[in-house]
Amino acid sequence: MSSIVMENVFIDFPILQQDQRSLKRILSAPLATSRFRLDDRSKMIVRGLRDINLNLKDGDRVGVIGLNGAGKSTLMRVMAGIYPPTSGSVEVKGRVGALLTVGLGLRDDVSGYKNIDFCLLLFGVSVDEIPEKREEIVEFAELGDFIHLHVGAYSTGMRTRLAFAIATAIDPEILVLDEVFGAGDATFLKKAHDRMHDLIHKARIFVFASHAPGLLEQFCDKGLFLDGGAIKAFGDLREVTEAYEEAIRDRT
Amino acid sequence: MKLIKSGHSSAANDMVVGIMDWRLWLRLGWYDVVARYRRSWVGPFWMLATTVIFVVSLGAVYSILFKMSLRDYMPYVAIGTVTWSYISAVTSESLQTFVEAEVYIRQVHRSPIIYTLRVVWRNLIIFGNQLIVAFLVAVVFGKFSLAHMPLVAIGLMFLFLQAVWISIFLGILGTRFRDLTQVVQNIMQVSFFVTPILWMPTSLGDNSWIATINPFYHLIQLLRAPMLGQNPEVFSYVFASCFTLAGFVAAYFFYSKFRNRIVYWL
Repeated sequence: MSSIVMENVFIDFPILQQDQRSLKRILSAPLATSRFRLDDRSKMIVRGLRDINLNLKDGDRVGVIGLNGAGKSTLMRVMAGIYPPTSGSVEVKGRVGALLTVGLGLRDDVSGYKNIDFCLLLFGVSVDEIPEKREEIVEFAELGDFIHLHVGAYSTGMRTRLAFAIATAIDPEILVLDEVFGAGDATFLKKAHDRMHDLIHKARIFVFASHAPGLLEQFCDKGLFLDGGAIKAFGDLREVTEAYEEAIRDRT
Repeated sequence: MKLIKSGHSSAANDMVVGIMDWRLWLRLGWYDVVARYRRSWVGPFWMLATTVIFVVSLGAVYSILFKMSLRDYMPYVAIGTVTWSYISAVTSESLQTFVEAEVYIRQVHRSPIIYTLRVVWRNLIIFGNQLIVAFLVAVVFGKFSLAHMPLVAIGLMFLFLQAVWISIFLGILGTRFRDLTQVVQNIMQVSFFVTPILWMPTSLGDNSWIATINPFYHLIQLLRAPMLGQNPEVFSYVFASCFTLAGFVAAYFFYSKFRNRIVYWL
């Protein structure tokens, strides 16, 4: 049984870069819905997520929609355990695999081979599983002898193939997928496509952030509409998509 | 891909989990060393070469300056500078601990202790490498004493432990306050000259307190003295033990309080 339970989750990002005072002046006219706030020690914060209550269980396939900056990536990072909530509670049961960025963190100075081991370990794959997965990744990435060469010598295409192969070699019970992952055209060759589908279908809970309604319909049956860091609608995908499109129309 | 229960895990849990993930931090640290030296054709020998050049030229010139015999001065300086470069590297690199691990931290949930141990391990490798030079100098000038090897081990232990807490403590501080790098570098630069590394504490005469209150002096002394075949003062052990304990307590409390903030400060 996998599940994600979020109760009254707030995520506040501190603003450390800007001059806080001048920013305060700009925002001195307080808007009720403003995401800029002052915390109790009057430091500037941006509210990333506000009052998120969510309960996902086995079989849930959720498409997360919302404008840029609505909090989609933040929500996914919370599910992946990367952002501990500022307040509220998050309980995730099951192995989470989060595909959020393509970058991955390949080390330029060591071979592709060693990079595979390293990244798999980083993603929490157990040591016994590594040889098998390594084999499979090498085969998928089609790097040939390059696999023994340091990654710094790879072409962009080779890097992407390797990064994609490693990231998708995991078999999570909960798959959290951001649209930006694998958005590169090269990645979505037929083979990569199949691999991605496989991964999605194997996951018990699937959470997918995307701007493309077509893609969401293909993989999800539930929709979650995020706006300004809060959940505007959650339920049947079609209804939520309609609510989203209506909200966009009203805004423009 | 682990069972995540936010709010349930603790600082102590992080530390245990972090240490258990030795496969990761050993690799991270080693790859850092590889990355640093792969472009030079002499590879890791470059580390040795720079140390040798530094120690020999410094030893030769300063022994004349301080009117000391090369036999006494050269090994003293060799061990002192090598130990110092370890302490100083740990201190300044610790500030970047989480900043340099940003790509990992923002992508996957792991105990942040992995990244602090990576800094420790990386510096231990380099230190061990340079220590060979210091060791050889001690042997060549007839200072080596087998009987003092257990004390050498204890000295190394102390130096290792400092890196563990410093990387946690400064790692968090350095993530929140990015301009600390300049401050710390300044402090370390000054410390190099006020710590008995190039000069002997005996030259302080009546003002020996200058060395006595300096934690760096005691830490260096715990390794330097036994490597020169001498016994460190008991006070140095007491001082270093208290210093280490205080450091760990501070690092632990600091970590417990701010470990959840690290990712937000990146």
